[in-house]
Amino acid sequence: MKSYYIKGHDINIFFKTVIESRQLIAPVKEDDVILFRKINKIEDIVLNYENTIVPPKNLFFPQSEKLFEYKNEDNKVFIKNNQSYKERVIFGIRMCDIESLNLLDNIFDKGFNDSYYKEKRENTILIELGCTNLCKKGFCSSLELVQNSTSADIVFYPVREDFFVTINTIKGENLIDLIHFKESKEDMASLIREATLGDKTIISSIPQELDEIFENKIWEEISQKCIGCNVCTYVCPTCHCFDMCDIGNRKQGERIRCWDSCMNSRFTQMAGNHNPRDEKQQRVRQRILHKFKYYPEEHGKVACVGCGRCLQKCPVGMDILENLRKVKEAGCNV
Amino acid sequence: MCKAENPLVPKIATIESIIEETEDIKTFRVILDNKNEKEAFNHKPGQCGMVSVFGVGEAMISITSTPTRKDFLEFSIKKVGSLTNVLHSMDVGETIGIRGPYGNYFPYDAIKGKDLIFIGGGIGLAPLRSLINYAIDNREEYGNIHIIYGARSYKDLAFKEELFNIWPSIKDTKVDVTVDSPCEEWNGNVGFVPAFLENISPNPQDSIAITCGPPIMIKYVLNTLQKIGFDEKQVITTLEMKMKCGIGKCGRCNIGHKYVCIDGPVFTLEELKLLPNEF
Repeated sequence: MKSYYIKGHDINIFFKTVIESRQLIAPVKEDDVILFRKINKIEDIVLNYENTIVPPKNLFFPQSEKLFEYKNEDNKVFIKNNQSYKERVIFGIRMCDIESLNLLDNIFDKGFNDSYYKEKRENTILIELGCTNLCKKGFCSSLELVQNSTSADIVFYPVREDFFVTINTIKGENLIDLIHFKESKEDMASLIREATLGDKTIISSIPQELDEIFENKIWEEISQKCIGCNVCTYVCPTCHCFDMCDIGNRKQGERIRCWDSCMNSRFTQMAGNHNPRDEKQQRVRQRILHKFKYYPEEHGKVACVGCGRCLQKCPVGMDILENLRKVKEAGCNV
Repeated sequence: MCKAENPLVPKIATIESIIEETEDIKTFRVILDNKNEKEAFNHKPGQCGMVSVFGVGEAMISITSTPTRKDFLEFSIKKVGSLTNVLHSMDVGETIGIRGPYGNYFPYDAIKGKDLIFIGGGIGLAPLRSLINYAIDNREEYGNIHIIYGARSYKDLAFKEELFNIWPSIKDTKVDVTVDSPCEEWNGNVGFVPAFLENISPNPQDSIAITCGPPIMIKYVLNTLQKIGFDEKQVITTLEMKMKCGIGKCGRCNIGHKYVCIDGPVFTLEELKLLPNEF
């Protein structure tokens, strides 16, 4: 596939051209935080940031999303379901978040059809912004994530003030062809500065059998600090638990789905008062085992991309890596 | 719009009749409005449907009717929470939504020729009933049928008509009933289901035991069955967890790495032993 070398200021030509034909979503700064937003003015786009605080999962699996509308007239219920998704370009996704979409695909794009997610995925061109530094709390290198991920349609890799651009897909090529950039014959590897992306202690799934670690005392120890605020699950790019509920009344309204958290004390609460995970340590255990044991056993990779958002945002400093290490150690000492 | 069916949008159904089984259990017989959806539904015994009350929400309920009686679907629902309370206030002719059929099912084919021992507690008889009546409708394909059932009191026994009149009159079909505490109207056995089961001590040879009831009852029954000689491959149960999507995506109903909505709700004891104790 083709590559291009784009001078720094020419990126605005790129943005201007994209905006003419599609919705452009890119990082902006809002009240001191970086977020993905729909772009109306390209001056709003920031290029100098670590990562958005809300991961791009929000653009495919929104925090709150209408599933359908219903109307009940004389005992006849009518359902209206008009999904339609504009073609859009998301610029500025880091490689960890690109990988998170692959991990979410295993949930939403397999098994039963989830057209809400699937159609957004199909109508989106993903443009990765290469990383030249490690995020303050990032640990992506431990997960052996690869720069210039082929899951992105296009990668913009910053080289000093300019960008080295590689195209990975036909979708990407069709977009870039709109602008007549100069092709480059350079090889990506020779241009990427060897970024310090952290130590190489590799994070792998929990090897122990479930019955060696499930009832271990270690869970009580590592869950003590947790205050159940649920922030980790919201900022995590691979967390995908959701709730479904009806907004409205028996006559009319809509059914929505919205983010939920396995760390919430009532997550597994059943009518009739039975709650299989009513203790905090059971919920902390569920989250860690889901990401580092159940998901990898099913899909071959851990459900974590090392973005470090949970480490950044946890109000009590829960460290998922440290906890994972303790669990594996406790399992060995059984 | 999407070409494939959207599994998060319910099919519309109308309540055709309501039977008051007990003070807090009602059996709703519903019919899917759309003829094509009705023909295509084709559930298997043990599967569930996500029942919607528009404006209130959804709950995953086992389909208690057998697929051999095709024209309708039956859900036996206990009044325990916000959704089921509203359902219990609904009338014949009102509309609900149904998504499904979901989940795996009782291995009705693999257990042909065996003696079937059903052990149910309270509302737990409802999921078993789909297989009981399936076996009855295919009577020659199965061995002896033995139904062991208990509830809190005589008033709380569900499916009384079938329990006392219909099932005992079927060829080679035995019904044993117990209640937890003595009551005026009841002359039969008094005692909890696991102890009742142990007293009856059904013969495990060429038998399959299928059980459902409150989690605590299931746990005791599984122990008792093993005690009286049932192998873990001969014991089947159906479990329940809080569910939302019903299609393996919302992350809520897992027991270990299995989602009860797609890998269950039916599990053999052998499979259950591989799962962590969190249900």
